Amino acid sequence: MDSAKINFVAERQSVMWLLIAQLVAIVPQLGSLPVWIIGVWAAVAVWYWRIVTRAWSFPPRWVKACLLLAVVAGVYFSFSSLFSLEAMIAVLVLAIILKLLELKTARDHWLVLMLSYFVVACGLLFSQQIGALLLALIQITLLLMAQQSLYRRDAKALPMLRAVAVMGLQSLPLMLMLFVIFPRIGPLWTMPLPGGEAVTGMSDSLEFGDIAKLSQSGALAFRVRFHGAKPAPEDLYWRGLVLDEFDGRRWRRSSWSQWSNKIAAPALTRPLLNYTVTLEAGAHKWLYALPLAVVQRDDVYYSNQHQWLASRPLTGRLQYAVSSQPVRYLPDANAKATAVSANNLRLAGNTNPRARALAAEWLLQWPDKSDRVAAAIAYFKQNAFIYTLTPSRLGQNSVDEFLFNTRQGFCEHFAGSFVFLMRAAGVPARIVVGYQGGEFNDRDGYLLVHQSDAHAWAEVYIDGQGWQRVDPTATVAPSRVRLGAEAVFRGQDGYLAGDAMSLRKYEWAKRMRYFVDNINYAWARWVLNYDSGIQNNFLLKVLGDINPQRLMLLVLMAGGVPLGVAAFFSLRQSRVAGEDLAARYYLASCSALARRRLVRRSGETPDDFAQRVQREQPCWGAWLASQTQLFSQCSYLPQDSRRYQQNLALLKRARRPRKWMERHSQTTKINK
Amino acid sequence: MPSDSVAILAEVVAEIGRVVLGKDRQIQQALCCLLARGHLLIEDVPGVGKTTLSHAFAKVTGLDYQRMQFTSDLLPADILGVSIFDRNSNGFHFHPGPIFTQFLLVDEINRASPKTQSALLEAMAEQQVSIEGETRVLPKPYFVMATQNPLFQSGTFPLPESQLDRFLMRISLGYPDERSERRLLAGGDPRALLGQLRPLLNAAKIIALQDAVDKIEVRDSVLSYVQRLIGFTRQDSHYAFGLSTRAALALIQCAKAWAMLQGRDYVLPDDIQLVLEPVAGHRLSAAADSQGDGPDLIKRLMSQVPVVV
Repeated sequence: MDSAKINFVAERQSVMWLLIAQLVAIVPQLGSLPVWIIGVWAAVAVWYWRIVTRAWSFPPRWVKACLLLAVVAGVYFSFSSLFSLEAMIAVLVLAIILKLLELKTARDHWLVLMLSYFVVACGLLFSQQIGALLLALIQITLLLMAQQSLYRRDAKALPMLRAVAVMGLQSLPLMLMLFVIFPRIGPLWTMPLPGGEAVTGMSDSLEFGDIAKLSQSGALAFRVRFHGAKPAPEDLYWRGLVLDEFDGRRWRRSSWSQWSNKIAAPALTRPLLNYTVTLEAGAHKWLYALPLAVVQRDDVYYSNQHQWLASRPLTGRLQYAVSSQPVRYLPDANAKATAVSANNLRLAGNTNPRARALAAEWLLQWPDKSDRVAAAIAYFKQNAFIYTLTPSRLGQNSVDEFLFNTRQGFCEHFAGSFVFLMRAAGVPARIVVGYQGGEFNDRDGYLLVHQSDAHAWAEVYIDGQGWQRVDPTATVAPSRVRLGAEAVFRGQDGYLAGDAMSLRKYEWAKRMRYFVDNINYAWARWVLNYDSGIQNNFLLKVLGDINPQRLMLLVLMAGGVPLGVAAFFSLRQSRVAGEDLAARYYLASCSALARRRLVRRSGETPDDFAQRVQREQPCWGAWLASQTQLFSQCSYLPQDSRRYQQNLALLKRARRPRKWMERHSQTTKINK
Repeated sequence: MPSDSVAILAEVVAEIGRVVLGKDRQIQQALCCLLARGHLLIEDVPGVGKTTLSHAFAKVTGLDYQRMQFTSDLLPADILGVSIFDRNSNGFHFHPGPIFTQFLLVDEINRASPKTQSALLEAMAEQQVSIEGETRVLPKPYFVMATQNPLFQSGTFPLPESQLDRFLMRISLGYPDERSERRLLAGGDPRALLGQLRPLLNAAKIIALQDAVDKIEVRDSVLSYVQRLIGFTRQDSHYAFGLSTRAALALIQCAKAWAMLQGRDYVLPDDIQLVLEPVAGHRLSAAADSQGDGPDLIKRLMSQVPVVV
């Protein structure tokens, strides 16, 4: 057995670097992993360090088995499952940590480093923001340095950092090429998604207080870049989802609207509003747009409630181009007033008697439906309603309490009560949820829509025309629509309460935020959104047509050319750096003989070999003797640069015996 | 390199070869050792011509010659010399010991006590002797040829590794081949011929030759071969410890001298290989858990390390 292998104990410096790199790879994962992992790491690190300093020895097999069982049980109790994504990553991280206790060979050292790269990659499952990228770069840098420290005599940080930087720059072209042309293959298996509860955003049902809660978040909902004129803020109703069923307390999507609801996209007439929306990930299926909209994407469809829907929840960021035509009425696909009424007049049970009574009054008083709508708007205007983020809590008959007692509410209160009144008064009505407004980033001119811009409004059906948007909130608080939620609520208690961005009242903080968002937006637009569709377009543009031959050509061009250039320079450099050319040509001669079963032994000197060949196979003897003499003159004799070059050229020319033989047989013939 | 020195060296080998029959290789090695400014250790059983070789060598090189037989009761003063009170001059007068000569033959060096051995070996290494506070320089050229019996013979004090390192080369003569032995037996005692040997060299010529050895060219490819050799002994688990830098220097110096003996003014890897056993053999020992002795170790070294890469 090789004693060097048994006694491998890594140099202390590389152990230090390994531990540092491991710690930095693990700590950022703690957001999704149980915190006790760091305790395990610390204990194992200390243990391993004692092993390295030869104070302790490696643990016996049964100790390792017990530790393994203990940590797997720990993971099980922390997640109450072993098969969620977080649990699997936790098991991986713990396995890497425990591997330290049997780090006996250089190969084990490598294994731990390689698995740590995998952990870094797992971190990107949870966030793909530019911050996550920077973090991953730092982690990879440290891992590369740890890898280097295995092979360096002095593991000084700066020289290693320089080497890592050089290596990183060298790999950049390859990385870019892989990013641009490597096929984007869909996932081969479904992975349990990282904890969905963390995603803030609109849900598909609405109760009083929901949107007020949502508006405490400063998280980004989507960004919009307008190509051409920007619409006025009061026109920015980002229509999302239609809620048309009321159970007395909660608004939902009716089940009929969710089935066979696919219709053809509307035909638009000019002038059009063109823009691109970059929607942040959420667990929902609907897209936001300004009606009447056409979304230019293949994987989404249009529903009969003028919603754009995706077939699967939008768990990743989605970018889509939209053309919109502002319209006053949205046509109903059913076109039959009876069907519209049947679905949009229903009120469950007999809650809220006072509101029903009021609506019944209007029904008697105004035969025309639009008059009833105006009456409801007037009601909100005349009574002192207060638009607030923190309305009082409401009981069983929430609409009654809101309309007649508390009169404090957020947009969903106004929209919900309005639709209730309308339905009770025989006007088909429904709630629309989405976002209203947004803020333009001064630096780049695109629109940022945050969760705090979440809004709910109403649509009423005007016979013969279609659905008309009515926003009772705008009646009560016109500034909400004109200036945005921020202007109304700035300084109020609940607004953006859960958000570090509440610094936005300061001008400098705002600029800073715009700047950061600018970077994030560019990152999302150019990198994260580069999916197979964009890739196909790009390849089509470059290649004209996507077929295997052209793709291969592109790969060869994009990959082969830089690699070839790099190889050329490195080969040149190695020659300049004193590669022994004479030895190379001489060895080439020897391998030519080796193919003829005359193998030079490693300890055999050129002269000895030449003599042996002369004895064993005299036919090659003369040639090899000449080569050996040339080689000796190049390598061993006192140097004379002119003669060296001559000899080298001769040695190179004759390194294949066959050619030499031909030339020499000719000269001998001529001599004869 | 002047061609007459090549000729004269060949003549020296031939002249000594008249007395020491069939041992041209060993004569060349001894000469090589002298030219490389080193000292020679000859290890062999009694009666194979060690002393004859040294006598012939002394005669042909024309150097001052002293011979000492080491015994277990020999004291350092016996070889270095002593100061004796001189009544006439009313002071101490130094009587130099046999060490003050140009060519010293030490017979059976491993019979003397370690104390005496180290006195000699220190003098060899320093090329000077300090006696009673006064430093006395040894003459030039200074060449020690020591013989020793194999260690398994009784009554010997084996030289420790550090002392063996002082000898540039260690060679053994071995039994003569059949034809030479027959000639020896038929021709009677070859020592009778010693008187007829002509001194072909002298101190000045030898110093000139030694200086000429320094000018022999050693190219990078040979130096890297030497480095590969010593590197191999340091890494391979068959060796108890690797060759020192001094050993590498010795290899190169001997290879230069050997190249000169061959009439070349540059060193080939072949020269390194030819001097490898005498130069490195006594400096290597097998690791505790591995098989084989000196020759095996050298053979392994020569066959495993590539000459050209």
